[in-house]
Amino acid sequence: MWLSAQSIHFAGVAFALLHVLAGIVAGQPFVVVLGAIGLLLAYGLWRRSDSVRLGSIVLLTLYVLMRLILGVFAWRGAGAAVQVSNIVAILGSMYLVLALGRLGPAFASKRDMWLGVFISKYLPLLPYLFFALFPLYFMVVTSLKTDNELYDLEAVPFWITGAGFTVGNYGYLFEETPYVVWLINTLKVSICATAISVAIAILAAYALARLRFRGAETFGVAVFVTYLVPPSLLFLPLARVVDSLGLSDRTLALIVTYPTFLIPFCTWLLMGYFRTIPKEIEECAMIDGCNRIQALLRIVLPMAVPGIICAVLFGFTLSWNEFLYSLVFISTTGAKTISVGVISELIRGDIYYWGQLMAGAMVGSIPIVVAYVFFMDYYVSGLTAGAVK
Amino acid sequence: MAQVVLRDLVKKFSEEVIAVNSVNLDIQDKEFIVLVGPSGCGKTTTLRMVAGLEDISGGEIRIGDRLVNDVPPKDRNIAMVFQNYALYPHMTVFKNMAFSLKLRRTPRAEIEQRVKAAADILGIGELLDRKPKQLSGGQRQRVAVGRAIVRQPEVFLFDEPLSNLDAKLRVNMRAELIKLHDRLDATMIYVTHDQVEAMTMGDRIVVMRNGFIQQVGSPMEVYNQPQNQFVAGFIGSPPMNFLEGMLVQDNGAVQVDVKGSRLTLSADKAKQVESYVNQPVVFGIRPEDVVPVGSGDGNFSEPLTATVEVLEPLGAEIILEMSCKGENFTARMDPTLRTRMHDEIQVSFNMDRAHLFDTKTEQTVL
Ligand SMILES: Nc1ncnc2c1ncn2[C@@H]1O[C@H](COP(=O)(O)OP(=O)(O)OP(=O)(O)O)[C@@H](O)[C@H]1O
Ligand SMILES: [Mg+2]
Repeated sequence: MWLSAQSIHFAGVAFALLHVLAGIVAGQPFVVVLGAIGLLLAYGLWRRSDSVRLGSIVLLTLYVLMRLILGVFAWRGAGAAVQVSNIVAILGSMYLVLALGRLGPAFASKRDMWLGVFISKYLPLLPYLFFALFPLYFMVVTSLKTDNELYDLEAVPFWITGAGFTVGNYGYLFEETPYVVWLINTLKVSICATAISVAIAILAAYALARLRFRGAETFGVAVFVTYLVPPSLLFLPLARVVDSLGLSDRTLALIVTYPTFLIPFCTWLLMGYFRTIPKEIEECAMIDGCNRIQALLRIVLPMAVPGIICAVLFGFTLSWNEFLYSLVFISTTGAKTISVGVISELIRGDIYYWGQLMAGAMVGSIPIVVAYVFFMDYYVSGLTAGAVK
Repeated sequence: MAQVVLRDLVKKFSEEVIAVNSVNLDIQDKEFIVLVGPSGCGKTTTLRMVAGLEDISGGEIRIGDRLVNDVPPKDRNIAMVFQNYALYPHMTVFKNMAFSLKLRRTPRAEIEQRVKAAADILGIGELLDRKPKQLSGGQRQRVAVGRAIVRQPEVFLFDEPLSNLDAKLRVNMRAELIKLHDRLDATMIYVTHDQVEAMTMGDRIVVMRNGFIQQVGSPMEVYNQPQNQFVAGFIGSPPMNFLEGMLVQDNGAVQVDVKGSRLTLSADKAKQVESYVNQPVVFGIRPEDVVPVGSGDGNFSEPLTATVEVLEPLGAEIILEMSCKGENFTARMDPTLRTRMHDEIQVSFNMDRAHLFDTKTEQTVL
């Protein structure tokens, strides 16, 4: 009942009206205008024409989202009335998202199927997309601002006014800091650590998933427990180890320590994957003439490609973002990774080089995006399709 | 020459789970032998031990003249078709079939020729470039068989290869496998839980139960001379009727007393069971040996008046569920018989083909 088309229409009008009232009380014409637009949209919803309704729903959603943004970052000098209208808008958006899922099928039963699909499937995704993409957007926007713009209290933080735009932060990053060196270090460490870890994890996971030997169960659990030990406990003993190996201040220190958390993680992940591969296929290979190693290399691994890619991606991302070990084991600027380098060079005392920091984070996230895009094609599940009945 | 010999074969998964128990079996060269039995009786485990996929807890296995207990699967010169086919999903049909030859470094031209030949036998010549996921269930099954025959192994092992197919395809493939055995002249060990498959395909049948072999024999032997009540009940469809009764002697004639109805045994049979007189027995009679009174000649029991409870006309025959004095039994009769549900008809048992079993040991008495 609460989610029927009628009550949705009613709620839409009520929210918009409240809005207009809040605007009038606070003496803010802008808010009044917004509210009025909301009213119009709510009226649009009321109409029987599907295209008008669709348009209204899309606009209303966007509008509520906008209000959500402004509401969450309640902007300076806002009066109580605006705050109230913010809360109203937030509640309204939640209600709308809930309602859309219900409203979709009602549309679908009419002539336009795509409309129903759009409303019930894609529209509810918008809030998610917003939360996922907003930080990224904010990072990009900030990295493209001059310091003047950044520290201007009058400026709206969510976009750039013409004069405040610059690419200088990126220039600074590449010319004034050893960012390129950090990038190369990070790449080197992540690739090596991931390669070592996945190679070892494949063997371990295969043994634990397939071979029957005493203590296999316990060992599997132990691997998992190892993963649960927090790095913030491990780094102290590890620091001693790294030191006595004479590795401190070298990227090699990270290459040998990252596997301490990557191997348990990848092993656990791959174990699950290997278990899903029917063991008959392997047995058949062994009857066909393979020994264990051949069966692993020629049959199991090709079938486990999605699992391995998953392990590689996660391993790579974990190493790429790793902070603690990198901070503790490396102090020479030239051996640092991005995550630590950016922080140590671009935060001086209590001065934050926001623009450059954001630029550094921005560039630093590109390889991850590239890795995901590149592997996404291979990361298709269902490679075992057709193997067994 | 590839006879397969199992001696006192035992497989223990744990102290309680003994999947295969002192199995002795001599499989002749080029024989088609079928292991049959209810679910969980140890058929698959036996087969897997022959294949080398399962360790042996006791006893020995010989293939040809070689003791293979510790020989890895790849060196046993066998091929196996799994119940779920187990095709290599990332390889085309051709590569699936060529895989074992490639591992043995067979020359390219010969691989090609042998795969083509096998594909032609099975009618999958056009599918060679497809991946397993692009095949239907029946085609996958053929590929699995094809993969086994390109190897030209001495022994073929089949683990319920037809159980995933629909009824019609199953009958077709059954016939094809029989032809294949004829053509390949290899030893085949075939596992199934379907007694029809066992009867139609096997040179000999091995009936198993709880890890023990119950009986080994040709299909007709197993059907006509079951060694115990389990085999008698397992082989044959509809299954044999079992009626509990008492063996009594009356005026020199030996009779089975089932709820007051006296079933008289012929004189020569009576001699064989004299020691059981005045003891409880299980009387077994196959549905086709329950006949309307007055049909054919032979040694028939006195007429019984039975009520028809269920009537299943199958076209070539009628299956009747009947009851008489609280005992239920099944009969298989000629379709010309005119009868309806709840009718009372006079039937008698063909006593020449009757079986008697010991109530306690379930062993065959007659
Ligand atoms: N890996 C295993 N660990 C423990 N017990 C097992 C294992 N495999 C089989 N068993 C047990 O051994 C017995 C025989 O199993 P098996 O698979 O040989 O039966 P089956 O005759 O092939 O039955 P089905 O017709 O259902 O395939 C069963 O009781 C089963 O529970
Ligand atoms: Mg089985």
